[in-house]
Amino acid sequence: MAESAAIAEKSVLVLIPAFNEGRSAIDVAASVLRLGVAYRPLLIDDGSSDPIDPKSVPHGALFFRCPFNAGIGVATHIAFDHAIARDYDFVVRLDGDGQHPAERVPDVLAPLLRGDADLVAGIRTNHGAGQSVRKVAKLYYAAIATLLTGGKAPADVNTGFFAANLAAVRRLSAVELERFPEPQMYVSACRMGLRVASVEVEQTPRESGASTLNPLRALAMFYRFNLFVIEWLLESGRSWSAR
Amino acid sequence: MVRTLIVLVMVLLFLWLIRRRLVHIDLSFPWFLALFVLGFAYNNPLIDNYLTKILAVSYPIYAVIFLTLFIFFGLITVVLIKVTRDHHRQIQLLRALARSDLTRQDARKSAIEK
Repeated sequence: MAESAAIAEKSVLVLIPAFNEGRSAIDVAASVLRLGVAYRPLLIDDGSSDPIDPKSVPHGALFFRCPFNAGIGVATHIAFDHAIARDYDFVVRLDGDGQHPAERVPDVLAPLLRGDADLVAGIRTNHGAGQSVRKVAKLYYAAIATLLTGGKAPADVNTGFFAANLAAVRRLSAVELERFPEPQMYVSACRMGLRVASVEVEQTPRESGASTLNPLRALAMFYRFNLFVIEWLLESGRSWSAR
Repeated sequence: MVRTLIVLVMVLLFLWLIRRRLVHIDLSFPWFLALFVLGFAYNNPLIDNYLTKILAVSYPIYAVIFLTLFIFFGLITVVLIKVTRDHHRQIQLLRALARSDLTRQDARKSAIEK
């Protein structure tokens, strides 16, 4: 109760990136508006082939359409830029496909409101479900992230459901985020000394659209993450030898 | 004669691409240079023999293939650097556009809500 009173005095920008998920993304934005006046949904159409009609966006939500598919990382940067420019207290990200329940946003924000964390990951309790190749890949990401951060990274580094305070947003905006940026973002946050916490969230089934993570993109994501790890190891080696 | 003709046709094709503005004139220079070097190497046994000796390969054709791969790798790298720079600029422009559009929207909505 005290937390809901505290959030009423704050401003929360809720990023909802959508790629060919128009209907469900609009529903997510409407659910966010129902949470209260403190929440401002920011719907970003990431160059969908079936674009979202700006007139169908709920009143009270912000809307931006990328003229091409720039990736979730760029959408995240757009939200970060806007939060910094307009001094929002917190930024939350929810997927446009309706897999992240909007009613859990206050729970994910709670550690930030208490001042216990700078970045909170909404880790999926059912994230192990799915194809075995995906499971192995997720285990690999989690294991490497745990190793790189000394166990500070969340158990699910692929979750797109997160909340960050303005200090974390300012720091993370310096990291170059592009397609599928989640593992890199959580590892970078830990490396920057930000306090990262986790809240368990049940992921709901996708309402519309299909995952953009096809086998080729999954391979590209794997490649990108490993390059990031190699770069991190080289940097660590350099700073260690400089000591 | 046929080899010279092929090189000439490739050069003319390239000039046509530049004239039609399909290839930017400044970006085309490394490609033109590569075409010139390769065309010259293919037509000159002295260069082939020299390259064979320098690269310590068995046959002149291997030297020319190596040179081709080397030049193509260089050209692809040049193009990748250019494309990467343009991609970064494109993203910066997109972010600037979003910043200005969202600031305007947010200010208007806040004013209405108040």
